[in-house]
Amino acid sequence: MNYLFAGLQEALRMIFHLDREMLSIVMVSLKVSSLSILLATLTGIPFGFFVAIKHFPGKRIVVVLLHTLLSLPTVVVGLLLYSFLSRRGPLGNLGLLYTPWAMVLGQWVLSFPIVSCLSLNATQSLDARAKKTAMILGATHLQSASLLLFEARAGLAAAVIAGFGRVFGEIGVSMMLGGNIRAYTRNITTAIALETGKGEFALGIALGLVLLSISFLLNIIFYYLRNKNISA
Amino acid sequence: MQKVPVLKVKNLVKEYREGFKLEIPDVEFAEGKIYAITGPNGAGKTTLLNLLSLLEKPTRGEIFFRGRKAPASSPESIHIRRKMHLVMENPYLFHTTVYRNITAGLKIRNVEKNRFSKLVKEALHRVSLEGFEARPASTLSRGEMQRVVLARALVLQPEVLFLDEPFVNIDRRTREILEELIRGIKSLFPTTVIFTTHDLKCAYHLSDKVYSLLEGRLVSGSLENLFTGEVEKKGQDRFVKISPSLKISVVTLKEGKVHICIPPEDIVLSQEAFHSSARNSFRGIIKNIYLSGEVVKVSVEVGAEFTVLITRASYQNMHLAVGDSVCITFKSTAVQVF
Repeated sequence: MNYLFAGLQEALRMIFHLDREMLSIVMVSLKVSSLSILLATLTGIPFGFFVAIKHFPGKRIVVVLLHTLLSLPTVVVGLLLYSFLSRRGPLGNLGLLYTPWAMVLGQWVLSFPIVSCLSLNATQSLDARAKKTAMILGATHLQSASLLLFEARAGLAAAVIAGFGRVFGEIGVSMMLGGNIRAYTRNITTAIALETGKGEFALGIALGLVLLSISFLLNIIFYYLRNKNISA
Repeated sequence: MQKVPVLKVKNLVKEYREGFKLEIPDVEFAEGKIYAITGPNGAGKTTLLNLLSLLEKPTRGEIFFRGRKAPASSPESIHIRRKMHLVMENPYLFHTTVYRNITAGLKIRNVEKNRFSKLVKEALHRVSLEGFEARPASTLSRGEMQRVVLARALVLQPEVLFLDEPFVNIDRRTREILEELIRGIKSLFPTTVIFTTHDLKCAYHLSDKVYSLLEGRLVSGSLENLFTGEVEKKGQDRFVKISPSLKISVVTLKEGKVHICIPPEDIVLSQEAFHSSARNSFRGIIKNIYLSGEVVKVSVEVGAEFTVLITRASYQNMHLAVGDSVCITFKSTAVQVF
């Protein structure tokens, strides 16, 4: 058991001394996941909102499909995008494979269903009178949408945080599309897998602690926002 | 020249799959007046307000706002909708502060932000909720909520204000404020008020004109003196027999079973019978007297019970009491047949 204690001790030292390698890995994770979740927010919230408030043929199929995509295995997304981005693939000439951009794309594909699905649920659970009130106040379609999105803000924040949690902790897409290149595409999860494989626990544990801390922080922010919304 | 009505309805029909049909052939709402629409539950009062405020599309027919056609859900209807405001029976406040709720409509209309604070303050003052700006809407009592919704309506100074059952489930203080507001709203800004209510006393007390909705049809006056009977012909004259001993002279081309309604304000109450052109005059006994502000409601039994409205001054001059023998008189043309 000594190697575990030694690993933990070394991990804590790395965290307190802000080890350069560890920081570089954390920064890759934060940059890639933040960018992918930004894209998922900009696309997933309007999509979920639109599906929730509009009636169109095939709406049920879209809703079922979105819910099915929630449990999309990360390796399947990795495999699918790999086949598109590899040199022989249709998007091979873009040269995206094994770059952070490929990871962003993969994580966006993973988080889009979560963000849009939870946004859809948040919009659908709004009181029907909210929409009528917006109409009574004389809102245009756009103003009405903005009022309703504001009203559903707690649910939307939950959607974004859940999406971030999903991509921040995933490994399949990052490994297959990023290639785990040091100081370039190596992120927290791929680094933990590599270090564990090498039997080097210290960096793995340090990164694991950072991962857990960030997830914890996100949840605290989420509960704060939710409670603020409930009391308003 | 006759003034253009603020709202005019022409052959308005709203049909629902469940079979309910609202049918308003022709009605006008004049500027600056207060209208009450009474009627039982399910008569179509809320539907009518939704149609008039352009929130719902009619199945057929047209609504005119100041003489201009106002079709619901057209781009120009938004501009007209912004000149009207509906306070729902069960209103909704956004999950934010009172201030943000009241300014929501101002933001939509692109009112300058530096005017918000003053306007909100004034609106809250009118509903006696001074200092409530920062309060979260979720912490308000029902009465306070209703008043914030009123403030949200007042701050927009609508040309037509619709109030759907404003007196249901509210506390005494809110009721007083609301009654005061309806009565005095014209001194704040020019507006037409159209409200629905179950409460007939309140309808007469506050409005310039009362309409009633019965089975989806709009009838002028209240449904207090509502009777059903067969039309009988006697030469040129038409009567409706509403009880074995009571026949009402009417003017109608209808035949068979009809509803008739005599607005209480169109009935003259007197101690002695008098000669006049009115075809309907009956003697009966006072059953009840209800005092309400300047208006006194008297129930008279003449073979059927009639409600008559008189002023408090008339009531005092006549020294009326329950059990007195009196006469009621009304014209055949005052009887609405439908």
